[in-house]
Amino acid sequence: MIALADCNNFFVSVERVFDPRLRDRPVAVLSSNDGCIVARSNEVKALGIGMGVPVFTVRNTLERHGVILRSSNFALYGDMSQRVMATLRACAPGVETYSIDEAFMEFPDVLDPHDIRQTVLRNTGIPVSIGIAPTRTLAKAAATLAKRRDGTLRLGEEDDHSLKELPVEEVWGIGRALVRTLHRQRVLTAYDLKMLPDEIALRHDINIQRIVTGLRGIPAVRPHASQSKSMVSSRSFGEVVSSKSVLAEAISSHAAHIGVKLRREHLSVGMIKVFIGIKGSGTLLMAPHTLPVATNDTREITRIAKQLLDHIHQKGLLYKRAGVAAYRLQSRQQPELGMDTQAIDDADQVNQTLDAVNQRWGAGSLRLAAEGVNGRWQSKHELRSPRYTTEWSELKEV
Amino acid sequence: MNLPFIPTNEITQQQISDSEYKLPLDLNRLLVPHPSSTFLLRSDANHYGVSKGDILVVEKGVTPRNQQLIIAVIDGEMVLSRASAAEVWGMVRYVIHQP
Repeated sequence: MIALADCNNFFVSVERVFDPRLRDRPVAVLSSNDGCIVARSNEVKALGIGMGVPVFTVRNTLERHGVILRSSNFALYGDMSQRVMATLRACAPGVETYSIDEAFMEFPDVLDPHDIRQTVLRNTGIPVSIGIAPTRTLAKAAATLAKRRDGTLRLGEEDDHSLKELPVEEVWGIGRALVRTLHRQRVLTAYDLKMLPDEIALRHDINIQRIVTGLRGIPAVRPHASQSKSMVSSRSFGEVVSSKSVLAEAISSHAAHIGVKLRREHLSVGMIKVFIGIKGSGTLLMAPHTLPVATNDTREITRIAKQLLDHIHQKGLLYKRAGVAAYRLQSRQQPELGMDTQAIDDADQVNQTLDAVNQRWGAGSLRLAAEGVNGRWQSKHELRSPRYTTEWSELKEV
Repeated sequence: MNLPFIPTNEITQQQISDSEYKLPLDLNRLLVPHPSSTFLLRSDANHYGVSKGDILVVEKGVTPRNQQLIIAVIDGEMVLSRASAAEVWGMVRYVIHQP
């Protein structure tokens, strides 16, 4: 059997570990620049506030119900994620981190999911839900349903009544556009999708067929493997460069180039490295950044690359080359956590427009304003909690 | 006749037997045997024998004996305290004080 452990409202749960006053209160976490809601406590979900909505569109509701807002604290979320994963690794074999708050694992019958939930909660303060099934698709469905129950759920090939409770848009791998098509075909729940007649399923693409097979509890021949390729975009300068703003322009164009390559190959990047080469020596100054959620969005990659450049750039040195590298590439078939598929579709729209215009009128016709208008590329994070576990100056005081 | 030159430190190294070779003392292993459930907090006052500014090495997931030094949750606040009926956030394993 396979299990998926999925943290409940992860960002909110992390905030609650270090600020117990937030328990039983409506809490929402905001994206970089405090623009959109990227995590909601159950109380906020109950108010009908959706995932990914811009804050200004729900400001009245937020104020009326005293919703407490926090800016994203990725340093803290990343560290707590590692703690959850390490705890899981001590509980079950074959733990495979899938996203910042989800992990698959092998689940021999001898293991008790309640024990594992308790262990993670006691050791890290984070509540997780565990779904157990013969396939990953079904385990993910089980984990989603488990959140509405006591936190654990086993699904077998026969458990159709549970699948009737799961709307088809919540099935792993089903995006918004496909949901519309499926609704038109009277496929409204995971059960309907599972029972789709084979001749209709075969008219959909291979990924949908995989999902249907997965819901039927039939293990895939090959597990979802992530490609371990990498991508680099770099260039030597004709003349030496010392100005950071010129380097920033170069880095931005490399970041954009990486974005194009990722999208063309339907991949997302999990780790970005920026490097600059010092004239006359083989020395490269470089810095990596691991993303909590893999991305293929040029804006996001550019923002991170420019921050990394800030980190490594030293005044007074002459530079001869600059580049951006992408590692931990993942297939885009699986939706990322933390964004719903609509938000991904919207980001795709921007990126596709970027790509289409540049294809028509030549690369570089439409670019991000890479000059970095002050504050544009920095997160606002005014409401961010302290980085309790990664900064000595920000330890929790008692 | 040229005798081969044998550096003196080579001779002394051969005299140390394998069973005597040990790892140097590791403070991390002493203070943080369970990294994933250990958190560092800071005291903001002089109380319970702890000075203001001291670092507290706190472990979650352990059950303290009565009166042991803990971080308790009282009315939503995390406070340094002795174990009683109150909810336990974590147990203070070590206090790091800089004189």
